Formats: sequence, structure tokens, C-alpha cells
Amino acid sequence: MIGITSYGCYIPRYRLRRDLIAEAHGGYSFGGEKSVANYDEDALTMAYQACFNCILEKDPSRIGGLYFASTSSPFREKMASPVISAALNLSTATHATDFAGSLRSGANALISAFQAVKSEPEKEVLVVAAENRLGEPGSDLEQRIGDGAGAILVGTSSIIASLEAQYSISDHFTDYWRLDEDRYVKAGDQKFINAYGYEKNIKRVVKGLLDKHNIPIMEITRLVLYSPDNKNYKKLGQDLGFEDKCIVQDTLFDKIGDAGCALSLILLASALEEAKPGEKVIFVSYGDGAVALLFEVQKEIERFRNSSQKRPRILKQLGDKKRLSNYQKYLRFKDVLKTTPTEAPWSSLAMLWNERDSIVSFKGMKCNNCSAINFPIRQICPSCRVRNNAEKIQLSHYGKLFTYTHDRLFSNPDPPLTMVVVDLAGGGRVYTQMTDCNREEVRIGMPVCMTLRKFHQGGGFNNYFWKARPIVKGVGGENYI
Amino acid sequence: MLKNIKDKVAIIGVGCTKFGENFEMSYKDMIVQAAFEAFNDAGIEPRMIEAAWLGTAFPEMQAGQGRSGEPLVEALLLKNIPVTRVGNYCVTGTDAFRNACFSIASGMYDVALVVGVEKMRDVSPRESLVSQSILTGHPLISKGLTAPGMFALTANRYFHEFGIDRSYLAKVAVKNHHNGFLNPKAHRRQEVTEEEVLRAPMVADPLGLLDCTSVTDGCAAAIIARSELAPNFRDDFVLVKAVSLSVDQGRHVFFDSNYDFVGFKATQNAARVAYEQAGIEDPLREIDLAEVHDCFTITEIINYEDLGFCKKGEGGRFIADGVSTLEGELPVNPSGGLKANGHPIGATGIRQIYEVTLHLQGKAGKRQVKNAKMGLTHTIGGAATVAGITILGARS
Repeated sequence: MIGITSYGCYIPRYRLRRDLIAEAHGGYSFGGEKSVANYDEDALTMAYQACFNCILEKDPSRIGGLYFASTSSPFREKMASPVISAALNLSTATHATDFAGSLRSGANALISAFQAVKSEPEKEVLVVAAENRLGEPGSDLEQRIGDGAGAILVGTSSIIASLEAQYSISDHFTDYWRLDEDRYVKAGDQKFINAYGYEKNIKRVVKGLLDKHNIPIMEITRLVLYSPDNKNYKKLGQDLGFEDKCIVQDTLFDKIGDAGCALSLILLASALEEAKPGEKVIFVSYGDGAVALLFEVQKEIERFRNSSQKRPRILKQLGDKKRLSNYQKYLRFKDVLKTTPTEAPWSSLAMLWNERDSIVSFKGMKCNNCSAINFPIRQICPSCRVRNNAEKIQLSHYGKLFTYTHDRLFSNPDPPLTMVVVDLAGGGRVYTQMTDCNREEVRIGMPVCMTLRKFHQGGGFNNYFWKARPIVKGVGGENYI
Repeated sequence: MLKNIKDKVAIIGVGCTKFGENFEMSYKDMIVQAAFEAFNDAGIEPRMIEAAWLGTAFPEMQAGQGRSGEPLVEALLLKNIPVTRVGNYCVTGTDAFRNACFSIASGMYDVALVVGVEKMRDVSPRESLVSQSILTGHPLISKGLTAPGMFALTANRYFHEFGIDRSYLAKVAVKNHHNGFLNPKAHRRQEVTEEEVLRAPMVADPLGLLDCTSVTDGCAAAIIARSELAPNFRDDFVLVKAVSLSVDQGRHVFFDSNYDFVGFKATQNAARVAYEQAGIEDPLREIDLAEVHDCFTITEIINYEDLGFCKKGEGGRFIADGVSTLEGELPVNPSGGLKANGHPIGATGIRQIYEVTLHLQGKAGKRQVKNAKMGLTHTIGGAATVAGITILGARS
């Protein structure tokens, strides 16, 4: 048996009401809210966080592959997956690879992951899709697009949903695209692409799956269907012939939006949060054709859900939101509204590589002589001054604030910049920036989780490091402190 | 073997420019003005200087001037003598003076010149120190650190532990602005009210604009000589009783789980060494005035405690009870401190020595501390991890 062994999502904290976009441009509003990545987030950092949420309490040494899918990777050339892998502290022998370019890239990665574990059953493969797409100001896409990431862990033991069947069609149909130099996602005529791209391919792939594997349609209890908007997908379920009792998974358009290739995995994860053992779930991802997978939910899922009380739930994450008060803030975060350019700080590839264990993997040192835990890693133990006699250890990502300030001098797109001193659970202290927070909520003793963020583009490349992020009660994580 | 510098070195002349936005004076113009004021004060010709020290902390902000001792020679034409450039963050001036004292006490030179100078306003305030924080330093570790941001961490922790609030910090600003009003060379000469300090725009919570020193140009100079030779120059020479410097671990202190943020070991250690040299056991009683490093109001409160003027946690009461006002038992920053004078980094340490010298010679005018016989100067820099102290005494 092969199948899904864990899942996780990451939805950024910020939201923008679509009415505010419509007001700015004087047009129709799609209603609801879209999720907006912070100025220091990108597809790589969101993917990291979804993976972190997915593999909490899982054994990282079993992970033999990390597949990153996105149409909006921060790199046109260079893979994001090795960076995510290093940030998660996975083995360098992990097969890290990127899947780019399509709305169904997440599903493509999933299919490849299932094939990989079939040939190496002792390994698990972590699949993550993340998007930070941008629609041109004033376009429909601008309103519809939302940011986020979904991760699925795939393996051959402790399976919570087994893979029963798959079907895939390839279609050169052009509906959403970006050319090499394009910044904004382009779209064809909506009516045309909905009818001849979306609906046609979804119908073909579902029918193909059911027919090829002789699956009676009335056995399907849940349909997880990518949709670029709120309108078409519910009716599609009926048109396809699914029973009324078959649940069509809410695409969360009012709360997230069209999160590109990440949406399919986010919806699959949200389905697995509620699905009952025995359910037969068809997962459909659309783009350049379509992919359909049939999963059967296993009894193991109940044990899994009960044991992972600390895992951030998708619905709880959706509730933990901060509304951007205006559209301009969103434009600043997305670097569409340009301000006086600030010079990028000095940086050095060699220096960042030399310190990679601390900088990318968040490792500290534990002295063999005095047991003190310190960050970053140095030759001489700061506590007992013994030289070169310490282990490199993974520091806890959870901690509490010892002190803080809100700085209005240091330039950033969302002032003030909150600087914090965090005492980590189990030892170690770090001084760094805090993100995704309001001034009012920051206080000494506040629980936080360290997360990977993009600090700046010094040296002409993305400099990633760790920031503290508030842990909101009920979302998960506070039990780790 | 020299183990204690007490009474080995004397200050025979001091000089100081106006501190402010000296747009009409260049870096070298300021050196000339302050140094010649000192030469005249000492009654000597420049050619009598045998060695010199130049203190400039951030040459990159002033067209590279101060990368070496060379600009001092270019300005004053003190050719063919040894000139050392000192850079040690905000302790630069104090450290330049300290090293010059060692050269005199060693017997190597008879007369030496120390100049501290910083020209910060050739660029806008943002383009000077703030942009340094943003552009330089480690690309990621501590990125986001600024000078007020660092001391704000201390303020928030101090409030949390000792229960005071911003109003105590405001009292420090009010006191120092009042003293600055009496100081013709201060940058900021307007008095402020507590209310104005509390309402000023925030810079780094909880420090507002009036809790912070200014970006300022300035230069100060001191001429020192072997104390046996000092009577040849003047009767009211001032004796160096102690010089000390201490460096705690550096920026990594913010990553040290044992660091409490509410006391600075560098000051505490430098104070212990200086008091030992000078033979001081009860600083509150034995010191008549102190020029301490009030880059931010919270820093002055911590300094009271670290310098042993009061116990840890009692700094708030020290200012609230008026102990550190001009009329109080131990006037602190009678010049107006960094708050009113601004902080041309390399110059501050020497300006403090200039100030204490004036009081010990009875020449401090409207802000004169009565019966000043013993004075202390203190600077602190880095992540409050480098500190320097001098103790100066009137000739007995």
C-alpha cells in the first residue's frame, strides 16, 4: 500500500478584502478576502512553513525526497527545494527537486512522489506546493489570486489515505501563463477558458479515472476540486454525476483565493482534516490538462488526527488573520508601489555558506564540557570558554520573548520593525526580527515560533534567515514551550 | 613597573568647538579650532607636541577622514611626530585619551595632544548612523539592529523588572536639556518639559525623539603632560587619577542567555578598575560631578547603577529625587550630556574631559558645580559592551 502519511498547510496571516481592491479601481468585487503573503515571504518561505507543519512529530530521517512545486518560485534559475530541505534540516542525501510552471505542478509532484516511494518503500517523500502569484493591478486575477502553501507527506506505512487509482491528461490549452519576462499572470477570456479548458478537462479526467478503474461513481464521498473562483466548481460536481451526498470540498475562495498549484494540496489537506475512515475521495488538479487521484481514507487517520493536537489546523489558521487596512499596503508588500529605493545591505555568498548551519538550518552548539546551548555556532563556548568541543544541535523553533522594541529607524515596507530577544525552549537565545505581528500584541513572555523569511537582497541574491512569529492561542505550537 | 596611573599625568590645556550642525566648518576646520583653543589654554606652541592621538569612530561617514592619524597632521601641520588613530565605537575619545596617558606615564613623551572629532552632518541624519546599521554589519545576524533599538531592549526589560515607566526617562531629558540651556557650546539649548518628552514621536519603543541624542558635529582636544612638568605650564592643572577600559563580549551579548539587559558589565568592570586606581570607595560621596554616556535617557539611569552611585533598580529614584541635578548631591552631566550636546562619536569622550576640567578649574560659568574637586567621565559603546572611564582630580 502506498499513500498519504501526513499533511500540513501554511496560510499567511494577512488578508485583503476584495472590496478594497474594487474600490481602488472602480469595478466589480468578487467578494470575500484573499490571503496576502507578508513582504518578507515568498513561495520558498511559505513552502518551508507548510513542510514544518506537515512533518511535526514525524521522523525526518525517513524523508528521502522533497518536491517543491510552484509557478511563482523566487528563482527563475536555481531550485528552492534544497534551501527548504536545509532549513528543515533534512539529510543532504534527500532528493530535492522543483516542479515548475503549471497549475497542476503540485499534483505532478504528488504523482512522482508516489512513484518514488513505490521504488524505495523505506523512504517517505515530502511534497509541497506554494504560490506567491501576482495579478496586474485592476485585473480580475489580482482580486482572485491568494497566497499560501500545502504539503503532503507520502509513504508506505502509517498511511492515513491510500492511493487507489490515478489518471492524467495532458493538454496544451493556454489559459493562464507568464512569459519569461512577465511579472503578472496573464489569463485568456474567462468564458472560453472555463468552458473549453477547465470544465472540459475536469470532466475528461474524472470520467477517465472512473472508467479506467471501474469505479462506481456513487461510492465517491468527497470531491476535492481546484477552482480559480467561486462560481463553477459546485455545479461541476453535479454535472459530473456525483450524488448529492458527495461533499464537494469548499475551495476557500472567500478566505484564501486562487492559490495556483498550491490550492489543490491545501484543499486536499483540508479534506483530510475532516474526512472519515472509509471515505473515497477524488482529488482533481487542473492545469495544462488535469490530474485525478482516488484516495481511500484509512482508520489510521483518527489516530493521526488525535495525536497531532499541536499541528496548526487549517481552519484555525484561517481564523488567525490580520486584515490589511488598505489596498496600498498590499501594493507595498508586493513591491508594486515603489518607494525611494533603499540600498541593499552588504552580503557575501561565502560568508553565508560558511555559517550555513546556523543561518539556514537554525543549528546551535551544545558544549560537551558545560552543556550550555548557544547560538550562533562558534569555536569557543561562550559559557565556559572551552574550544572546539561542542556538538551542533537543532534548536527548538519555539520560545518566549525576553524583551523587544518597535524600531522606526530601520527601513522596511511595514514599519515599525519589531526586534525581539527570544529564549528558546530547551536552551539558546536569539536576537532577531519579529514578523506578522501588531505592536499591541507584543509583550515580554509572549510565545513565538521561529520561521524562515526573506530578509533582503544584499549581494543581489535572496538572504533567508529566521524571524519570530506570534503563536496564536488555539492554532498550535504553544504546548511546545 | 607602572601598575597605577594615578597622579602621573596632568591635563595642561583643553579646547572644544561648538557642538551642533557645523555646516560652516569642515572636519579639519574643527580640529584646528579645538586644538588651538587647547594650545592657547596651555600656553604652548604646537611644535611642543611630541605625540598625538586622533579619535574618530566612523571614517566612512566623513569621506574616509580618520582612517589614520594623518588628517590631524594635515590640519595642524604637526609634521613628523607619531599620530595614532583610535576607533572604539562611542568610547573612542576616552580610549584615545587613555592611550595617550600611557605614553606620558611611560616616560616616552613629555607632552601629548588628544583630539576627538566626528563630522556627521555632511550627510543627512538618516544617511549617517542609521544607514550604517542597515548597510553594514553581518548580513543576517542582528540585522535590524540600530543604536536606539539596542537600548530600547534594555528599557523595556528594565520597566518589566523594576516597575518604572517612561516618565522617569523623561526626567533625565528635562534635567539635561536644562543644563544644556546653560552651556553655550551645546547643540540643543532649549529646555523641554516632561510632557513634551512623552509626546515626542516614537523612535524605538519606548524611546521617543527626545529620549535620544542628536546627530551632531563636534571636536574637542586635550593636552597632557607628565605631572612633574605640569607646574611649568599652569597652577591649576588637573591630575588624571584613573583611566580604564573594559570590553564585555560584543554583539553576541544579545544571544547570551545569562545577560539580563538591565546592567552593563563593561561599565561595572571599568568602574571597579578606575575606583581602585583612584582610591575611591564611596563614589556618591567622593565624586563631585560625573559626565556619563546618556546616548539615550535609559542609559543614564543604568549608568547611575553601574557606576555605583546607587543600587541596581534604584536608578529611577535617583533621578526622581533630584540627586543628579546641578543642585543635587552628585550632579550628572552638568554640560547637558549627550542629550543636549549631541554625540559626534569620537569627540564625546574628550568633550567630557574638557567639561570636568572646566569645573575643576572653576571655569564652568553658570553651570559650575560648587567645590568640584573630583570628577568622572564615562562612555559606553557597541552593544553597551565597551566602556571607558576617566577620573580627574583638582590639584590638591
